[in-house]
Amino acid sequence: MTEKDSSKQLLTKQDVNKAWTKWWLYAEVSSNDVVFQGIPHMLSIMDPLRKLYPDDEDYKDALSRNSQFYNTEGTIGAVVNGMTLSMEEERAMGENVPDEVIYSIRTALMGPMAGIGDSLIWGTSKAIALSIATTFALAGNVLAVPAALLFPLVTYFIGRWMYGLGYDLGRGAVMNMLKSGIMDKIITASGILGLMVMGALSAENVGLELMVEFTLANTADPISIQGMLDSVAPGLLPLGIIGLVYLYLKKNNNKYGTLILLIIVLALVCSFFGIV
Amino acid sequence: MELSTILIAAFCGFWQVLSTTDYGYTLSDTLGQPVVVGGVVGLLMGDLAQGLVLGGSLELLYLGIIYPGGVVPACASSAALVSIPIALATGLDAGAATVLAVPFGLLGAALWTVKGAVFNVWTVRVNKCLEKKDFKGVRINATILPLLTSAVIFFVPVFLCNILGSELVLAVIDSIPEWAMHGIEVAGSLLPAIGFSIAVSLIGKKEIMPFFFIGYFIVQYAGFGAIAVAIFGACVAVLYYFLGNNPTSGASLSTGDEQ
Repeated sequence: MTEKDSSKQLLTKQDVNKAWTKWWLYAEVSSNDVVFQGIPHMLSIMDPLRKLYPDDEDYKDALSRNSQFYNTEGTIGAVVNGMTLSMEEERAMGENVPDEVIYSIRTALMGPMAGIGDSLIWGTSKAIALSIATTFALAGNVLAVPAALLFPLVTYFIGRWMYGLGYDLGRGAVMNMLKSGIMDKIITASGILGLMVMGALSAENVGLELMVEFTLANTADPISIQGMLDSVAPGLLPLGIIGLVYLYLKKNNNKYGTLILLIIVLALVCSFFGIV
Repeated sequence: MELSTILIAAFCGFWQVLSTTDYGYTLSDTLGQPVVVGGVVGLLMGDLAQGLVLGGSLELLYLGIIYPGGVVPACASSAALVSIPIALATGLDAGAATVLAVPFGLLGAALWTVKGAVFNVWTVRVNKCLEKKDFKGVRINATILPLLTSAVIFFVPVFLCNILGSELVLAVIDSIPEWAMHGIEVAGSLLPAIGFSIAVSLIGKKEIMPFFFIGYFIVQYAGFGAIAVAIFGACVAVLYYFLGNNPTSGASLSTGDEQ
């Protein structure tokens, strides 16, 4: 599919950007357990749909078509919203785009986009912005707040671009993006940055020191286990704890309610016996 | 009870509403992050620096948490908006404040479940309005009414916890023996491992895992801070993007759960 012939368009760039902003504002506001983001998606394109379908009956059908089950990550997934809007426009201009096509393409693409968005936006970008904010905060530096706010600022514009991309390129857009492999490279590159920052923050903030000492018969000074560990490499014990926590979470699908209790209880017991 | 306690409790309730209605997809969530809450509540209570330190310590536990499929495993803003004002009022240190925050985070997660269930009402009403071609009704049931519902669900618990909190916490702290306080502090410095582990597993690509250890040992051996490591990391990421080989040139639909 090539770019749309602009002389045949009913919607302006402004309509599309407004729809994105409304989506950004409401994407999770009225989502629920049943149709998830169906209602927010419908709400975000109410104005453009009215423009496309002046007739009340057509408008009503378009709204209910767009309020069906929908669930994606709002920033990267916005490309699917933009694409849906573009298909609605084609349909309003008399092209043969059946309901099922709009619905099935939307449903087919929301999952992969959610996967990319959860990993890139919420998993990596958010963690990086908050890590830097945390470093400032721990030093009592007020720059922490603007550093954290970089996350919504940057993601707003990424999403706006994705929405526009979906609209401009229509239903071929997402397929092209997935095929080109660029997304995969961006995810890996930001993953590298994310992992290095996580490693640094772990080193700074996860701590554990053993207080246990041994006294052997033929030495005067007691031997501390902590000292022995430090002579191998600094920070081995906290790293071991992180490894154990990581394995536990992996096994338990990132459910950590019990783990928090376990850590608190173990810390209390070890403190009682003077081990830590 | 002092008036200032009530005002602070009301402010925290209001901030909780801002950060849980989700009005503004990525903004709302950020407003509820402990670092931001720490700054705002610290400023309000006249100790900005300590507020930020408390927020930063708590953030370490929550920064990796995301909401896959909309399920909220723990609510960072509930934890922060109860524990930070109480810690500022009672002089509780950061490690102990983090442990105190945990149950409130879990309590907050339960509120999200309530919200998801209650909100089905609005979907039903949207569909009814659609049938009647009442387009104005559609808008109201998709915007103002859900916003107000969230506000009620989230304001009240945070407000009440703040009102009842300080004195209760002070009384409990006074009765805790020395070894237990130390144990709580140790737990406080171990709990961040959870946040980091989740963040690492979400990034989730095995072949780039060594970068975690590079970041870890740069700090351990050289003593550089996280910002310095972030600068090196950004350079490595750019180098990879332009010089690295494309690992999977074909379509990759399973990026999110590639473990």
